[in-house]
Amino acid sequence: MRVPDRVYSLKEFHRYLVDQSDEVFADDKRKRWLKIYCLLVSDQGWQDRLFAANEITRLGEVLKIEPSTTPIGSDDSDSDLENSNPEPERYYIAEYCPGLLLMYTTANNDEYQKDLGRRIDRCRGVTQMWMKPDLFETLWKGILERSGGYAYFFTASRSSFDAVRCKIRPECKRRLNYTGRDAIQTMQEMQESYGVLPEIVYLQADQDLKLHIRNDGLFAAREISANALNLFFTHLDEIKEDILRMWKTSNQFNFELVREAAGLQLASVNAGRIKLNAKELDSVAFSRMKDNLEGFSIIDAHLETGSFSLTATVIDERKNSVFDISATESQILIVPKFRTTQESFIRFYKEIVETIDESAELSLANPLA
Amino acid sequence: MTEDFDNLLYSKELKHAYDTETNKAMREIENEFNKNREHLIKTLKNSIDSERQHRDILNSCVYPFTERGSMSSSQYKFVRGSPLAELGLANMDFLLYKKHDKLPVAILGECKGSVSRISSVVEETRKRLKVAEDNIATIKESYLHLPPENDLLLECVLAVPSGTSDEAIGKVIDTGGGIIVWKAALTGDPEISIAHPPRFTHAMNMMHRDKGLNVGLKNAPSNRRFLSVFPQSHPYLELTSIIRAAWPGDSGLVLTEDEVRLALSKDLFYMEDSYVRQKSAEILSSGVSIGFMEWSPKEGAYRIVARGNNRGQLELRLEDKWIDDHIRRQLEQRKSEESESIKEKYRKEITKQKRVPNGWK
Repeated sequence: MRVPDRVYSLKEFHRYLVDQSDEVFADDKRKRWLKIYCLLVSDQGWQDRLFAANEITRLGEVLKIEPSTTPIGSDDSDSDLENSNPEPERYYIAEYCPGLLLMYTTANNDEYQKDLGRRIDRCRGVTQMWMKPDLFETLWKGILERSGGYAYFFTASRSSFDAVRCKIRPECKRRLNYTGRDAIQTMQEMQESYGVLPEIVYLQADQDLKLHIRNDGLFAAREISANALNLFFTHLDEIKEDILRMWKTSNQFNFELVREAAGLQLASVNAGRIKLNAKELDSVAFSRMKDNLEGFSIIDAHLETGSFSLTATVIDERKNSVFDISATESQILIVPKFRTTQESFIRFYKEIVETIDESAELSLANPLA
Repeated sequence: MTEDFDNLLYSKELKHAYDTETNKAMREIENEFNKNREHLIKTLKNSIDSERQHRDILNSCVYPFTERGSMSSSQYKFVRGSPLAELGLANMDFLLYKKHDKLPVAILGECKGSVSRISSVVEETRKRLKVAEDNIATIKESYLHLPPENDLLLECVLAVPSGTSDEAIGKVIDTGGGIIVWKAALTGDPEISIAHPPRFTHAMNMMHRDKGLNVGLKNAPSNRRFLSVFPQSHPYLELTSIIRAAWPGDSGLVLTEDEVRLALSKDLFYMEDSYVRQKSAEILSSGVSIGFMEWSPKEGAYRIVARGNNRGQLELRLEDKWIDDHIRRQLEQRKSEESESIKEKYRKEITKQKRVPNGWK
């Protein structure tokens, strides 16, 4: 992806992408997709945490990123030079609104993972924008309805036994890809029968425009057009407040120590809460949850049966953050403890949504306090 | 000492008799331990689980009195866990405090995760309260920052699982009152309540003097886990801090003393830094001595001795290592006691024989 170095506002940057799309793709021998990764960031320090100074060129509201071969935070020392693109990939980042960044690139997924994906996975205070199933559906269905197109491919999975209703062999985990002009109807049928949730959807928005949307915050367009960008931003605007509210909520979870006037050191805890709405947690569900939590470990657990109670320490293996949980049948309280970073709570919440209850809600335990 | 004892065994026959008896006794003890090993393991695992249950109740009792807790408007504050423990004294589980110009109030609480003999629980609580009363100057000065001459109302709480509160109240009444019983829910919504004694006990100090506190302590929302380690926690639970503190290194999970200290700093926020440092060092030393970790000069850190970084698996390994070590220590202690007992028997015999010429055969 190539955009001339000059000063852009985000609007001007979009205009350039649309007006000069041939130039944007000029370096790419194969026809590529324009990809926009949505990233959530906890504060303004993300630039320093994610990139070395020599990787960044400021172009007004847009930053050009040229990742070095040994990226910050990467443990990859065996980059395969033969397979790497002789022309390094470029990424362009702009702040869409406070807390939400957009990263533009034409890099394919492998290149992105090598250049930045793994770096983002490990960087504290930065995460790809995961969308809850209902918000993801709002996004892709909204685009579909507005464009009058159809879905022709989807990937859906069932990552647990309980989170989603299922008629056929609910005890099976499954993942499926489907290609066909009737993808929407099939998706619906698969959802009802096999309890799968869509993760990736490909749309034929109009005759010339193919779009690709993922629930971890990737939007991709086969053609760069004003229509493509309008469709995306119109529907991103519909869901972004909900996502940022969740993000802001997770940022408020804390465990502080306060010293009062008389010199006593006291604990002040702003605990998080995941409220289960459609399902109840019990020892069987916990056991499955423990086995299926991706990237988390649960240690020091104490389980009371009967009316369910669980206490435990949870460790986010990707970011090494540590928090305690106290769960009942209907809620999980979260207390940040050590090296915590807010995206750990979001990812834990995602796991609960995908493994226990897709309608679970994240909030502060005691918002009025 | 051993040399001295060997010198006492003045004849070959005597030494042989002693060696034979000792070896037989040691074999018997080892056989007994091997035979009972499964039972010992089960007992130790149960002790860990009981301690976790106790910790849940303790957390339930103190969480509402943190700064944003459901009882924060009562002005009672959670000051510390295990007051006086650092002095090596028998101690209660928690200390709450309400500042007041005329008569500040301290609440000392004892928690029981399960109650098998309520009479001994009440008796133990009274004994611990007595220790606290004897050390009231320390509580005032070191914990509450009060001048020693300042008046302080001391109240005593015994917190038990909801189902056992009536029994606890009965025993407190039988033994003269003066203890306020709280009940904590072990399952369902985490909450605590005061257990109301019968009306005729109104003069027996079984309710808080602060009426607002009595009213507030009715299904007060709480949290069963916000502190994982207390000063008097089970040694195994302290060791789990190693797994919390570790991070992935070149060859498995590694950790430093600083990381253990930081991992403990929230749990033990009310303790002096020097105490937390010492506790971190003890935990590391214990982790090394049971063979769970080793110093890695290459990494400049301690390394958990295991393949893979799966912390759930590492916890199982830690538990196995701790239990093995604990049983080994018990075995060594038992052997040492038995060995000492045999030696004592021989000492007595030798002394007796010295008085009777040609006595020992």
